[in-house]
Amino acid sequence: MIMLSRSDDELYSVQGRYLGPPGRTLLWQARYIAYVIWAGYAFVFVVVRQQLSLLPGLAGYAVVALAAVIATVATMRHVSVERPPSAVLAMFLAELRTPRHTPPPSPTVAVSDPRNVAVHLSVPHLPAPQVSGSRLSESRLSGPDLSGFWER
Amino acid sequence: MSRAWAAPRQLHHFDLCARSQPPDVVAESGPAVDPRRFRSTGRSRPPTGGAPEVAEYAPRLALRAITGHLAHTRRGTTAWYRLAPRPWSMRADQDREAMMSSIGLALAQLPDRWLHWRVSWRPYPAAQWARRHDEWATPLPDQPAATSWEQHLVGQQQRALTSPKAIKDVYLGVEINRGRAWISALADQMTSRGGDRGRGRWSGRRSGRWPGLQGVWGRFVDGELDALDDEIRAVDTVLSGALGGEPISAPDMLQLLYRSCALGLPAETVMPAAPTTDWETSDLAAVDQLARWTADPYAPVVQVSGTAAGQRVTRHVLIASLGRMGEIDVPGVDLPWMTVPDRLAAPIEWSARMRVLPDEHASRSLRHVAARVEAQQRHYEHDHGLHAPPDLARRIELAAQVRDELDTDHTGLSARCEGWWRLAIPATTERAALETFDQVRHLYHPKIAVERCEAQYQLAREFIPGEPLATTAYRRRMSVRHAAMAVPMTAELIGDDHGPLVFTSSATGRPIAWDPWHDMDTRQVSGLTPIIGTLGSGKTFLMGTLAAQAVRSAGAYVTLLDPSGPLIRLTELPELRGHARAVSLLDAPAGTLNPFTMITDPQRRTYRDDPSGDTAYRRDLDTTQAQRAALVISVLTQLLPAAIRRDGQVQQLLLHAVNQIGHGPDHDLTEVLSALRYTSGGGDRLASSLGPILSTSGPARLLLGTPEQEIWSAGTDRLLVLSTRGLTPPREDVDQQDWSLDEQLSLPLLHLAAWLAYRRVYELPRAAPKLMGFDELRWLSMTSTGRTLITQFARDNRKYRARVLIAGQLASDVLKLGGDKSGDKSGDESGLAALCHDVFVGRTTDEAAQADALRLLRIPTGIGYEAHLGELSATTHPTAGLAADAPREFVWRSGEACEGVQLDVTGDHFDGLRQALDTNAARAGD
Repeated sequence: MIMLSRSDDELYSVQGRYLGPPGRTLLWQARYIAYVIWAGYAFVFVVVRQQLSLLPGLAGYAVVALAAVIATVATMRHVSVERPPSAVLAMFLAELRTPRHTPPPSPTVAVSDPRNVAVHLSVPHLPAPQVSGSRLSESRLSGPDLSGFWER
Repeated sequence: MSRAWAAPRQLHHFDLCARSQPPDVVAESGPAVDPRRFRSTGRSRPPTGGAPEVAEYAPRLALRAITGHLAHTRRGTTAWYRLAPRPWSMRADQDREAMMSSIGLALAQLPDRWLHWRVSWRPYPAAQWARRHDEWATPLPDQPAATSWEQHLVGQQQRALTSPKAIKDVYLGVEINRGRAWISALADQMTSRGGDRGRGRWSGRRSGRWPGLQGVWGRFVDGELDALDDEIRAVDTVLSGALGGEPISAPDMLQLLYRSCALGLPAETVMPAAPTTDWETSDLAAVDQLARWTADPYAPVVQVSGTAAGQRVTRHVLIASLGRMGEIDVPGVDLPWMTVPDRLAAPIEWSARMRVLPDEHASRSLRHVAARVEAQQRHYEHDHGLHAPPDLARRIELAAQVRDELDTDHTGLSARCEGWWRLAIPATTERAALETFDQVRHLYHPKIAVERCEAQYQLAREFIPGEPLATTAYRRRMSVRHAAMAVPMTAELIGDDHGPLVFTSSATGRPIAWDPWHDMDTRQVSGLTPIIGTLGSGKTFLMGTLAAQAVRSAGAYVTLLDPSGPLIRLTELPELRGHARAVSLLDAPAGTLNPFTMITDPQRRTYRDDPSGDTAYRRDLDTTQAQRAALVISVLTQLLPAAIRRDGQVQQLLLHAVNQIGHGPDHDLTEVLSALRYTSGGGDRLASSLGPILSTSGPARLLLGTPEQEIWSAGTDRLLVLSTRGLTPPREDVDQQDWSLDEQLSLPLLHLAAWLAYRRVYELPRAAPKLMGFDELRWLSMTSTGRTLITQFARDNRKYRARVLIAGQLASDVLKLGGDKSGDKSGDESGLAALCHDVFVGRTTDEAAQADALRLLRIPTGIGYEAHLGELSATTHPTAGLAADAPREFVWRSGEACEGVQLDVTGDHFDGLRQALDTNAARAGD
């Protein structure tokens, strides 16, 4: 049995191009799907123009058509045989639904450890707090110095 | 056997809560309120203070329940199977082709079903191995200032856990009839309305408020479920064939869900218990909450954060898709295309969704695409008078070919399938993930494109069983034959998972355990084990490692014949203190190698105490004495000058002299010399010829006399290294007539040293595990006594539990043993080599030697494996020799399995062993 094998990828990778009406070849060649996308963009832009009352007159339609061409060209850069427009759109929507990494919120209220405050008080007959040295030193640096107050 | 379908009764819980609760509400159980308390007041519900509303748990997964190997979602049910690993490397191409064909045919029997391939990795189950190994092993007592047995086991486990991808798990999910899932849910709702929610499969469907309606539904649902049972049984049968699929067990299902929901996180070495195969919806919280998946907009990776081994871990997982495929040749040129990334260190996982298209569907699709191509061609040529791009004509031709193949091929392998193949590449950083992705692309280049796209989060979700396909981008279409060339379940199948961890797989780094006596005890295979390789290939290192491990773990009696010296240092290992002895034969007492004492008489007490025992004993005694006489005559013949040896009368005279003095073990060669002197017909001349070489002042004194005691202690010596350093082996390519006296004497002494080692086997308890190692196979196979000894090894090793390692540089030395001595290659299979269950071949550079080595390994020659033998242990620096930590690579044939392995003595607990076996004199400080 011959084990040299090929997939059907090449067979299915045909990209239909519309050259224009019969006998009237256009100056450009574009895929059929590009015309569909252009029409979609043009419709959206026309609605937007109409709603916002921008660029009245024929010039406005020309700008819409041009904008649709630009948007279509930009879109078609992401569309290929491997990535049909439906898949590109689905992936775009999937990106919108993706959970984002949010850093944990910083604390708004700081609760000090009472022992950190107490350690610095020279109150006789009180047992020394059982904390580590590093914590003591931190409390000395950050806590209020009340020793003078008690001595008075 | 009907399947348990209890789980779908949970479906309605989700349906109800999914409408009212966000999907990530965590379930909490409220305080129990007894409804009877309110019945006494005559009110059905209390106006205030009633039971609190409890938010039901709703997983973020599509999975809703698991029953046995069936995973239920709201859209359908998938039956999951674990596929048996298949050997691939070092196999004949026709075996591989047959395997791929059978896999393709099995896939073709599952038309129009979505199949979900999942390939995952798990670390070596080191803890289970250590537990089993500790039970099996009989280690030597711990010594002070030496690695204790406990430390040794811990070190072995740490070493085994260095690779995250030791064991490959290949799962296949097969879609069961999707359209009927709603029946399960509907019947479940009706059942639960009847109030019977606590029993097994559909137990309450005939009870309840509307028994008549329930009965109708019950019968309907019963019929549907019975049909599904039949369908599942049919799928089970298909999967159990060529694919070797077994319905997934509870621990495997847990493993699959863990590896999917915690995609890319380090695998857990100790998994939670999986006592049951049934998962209800709320049980899915165990895997649903394993990790938090996030991704930045259009980021190339998805971040998976969770805990592993008690620590917070984040991994960056890149999901790639297989793109367009060119022409591939498996097995001729290419690897199975789903195993290509296996050689990378990263544990790359696979998720593939595919379905085999029914023939009419495939034909329709092909007709459609052909029509599109033809229309495009017409558009160019007829509508616009332009030349159509040439690829259109090629596509039309291709479509015709494929349609013709579909129409004429009746093997089933031409069926068409489509699918999406994704890879999950985990790494600690985004940059590392991208680098690994580049490596994967290069591995597939230029045959297959590997693509990365956006929507990484949704693509990663595809790896979870039951989740929908994220996108239809990168759809692959191919024949079933082409899909079968993926063969994702290839793995190394060697070792026995029983003994010490001696090797690791060269391809994947999987630790391989090997107990040298396990196969001999359980499968009655031969323990004769050739080790072949050129100088510096690691033969001595392998022999020494196996010997040290055997003594350390099994308390085996090991005897090594060491011609060059490095193995002596094994006896200085602190772990073996008091149980190892090194003996230099040149310093041994006179008579140590007396050929009369090499063969031990049988013991009468080991035979039955009746006349038949007497007969057997006498027969064996006669055989032994004849063998002893033959050995003595052979030794004397080798000691004679070459010119005299060829005389036809020599053998007759020697036999006469030996017969005169008797065949008992209490004689020695001086008696033979005396007898020869009084033998007429030239005996005197022979005695004179033997006189100079049998001088008592040289090494020949080892042959003369009888030693007062053994040179080893039978009670304590587990490792005995017999060093023959000082003997001068004969020069190669020098005629025997030109040998010096030392050279002439060394050959019989080397042989007798081997016989001495073998004698030890007979003297030790028969049931005790024994291992013998002989270097310089070449000299052993040169003479009849050497060949007799090897034949003895092959015959007796199993009865005496003796693993015999014989090392040499040329496989031809083994191939010619017991077979056709003329060197005819066709006689190889009938020789002693065919009996060898285990064979190790290290680096071999000479072309003829490579071909012989492949024959010894029973690997097809002439298809490219020769070069592989030359690349073994290729990490060696050409000027530095083998470093102590350099991997010694071998091709290991063990029965039907044959794999590339490397000797693994890394880790602190092997420091002493590495230093002892380091043959680099400068580093060793010799």
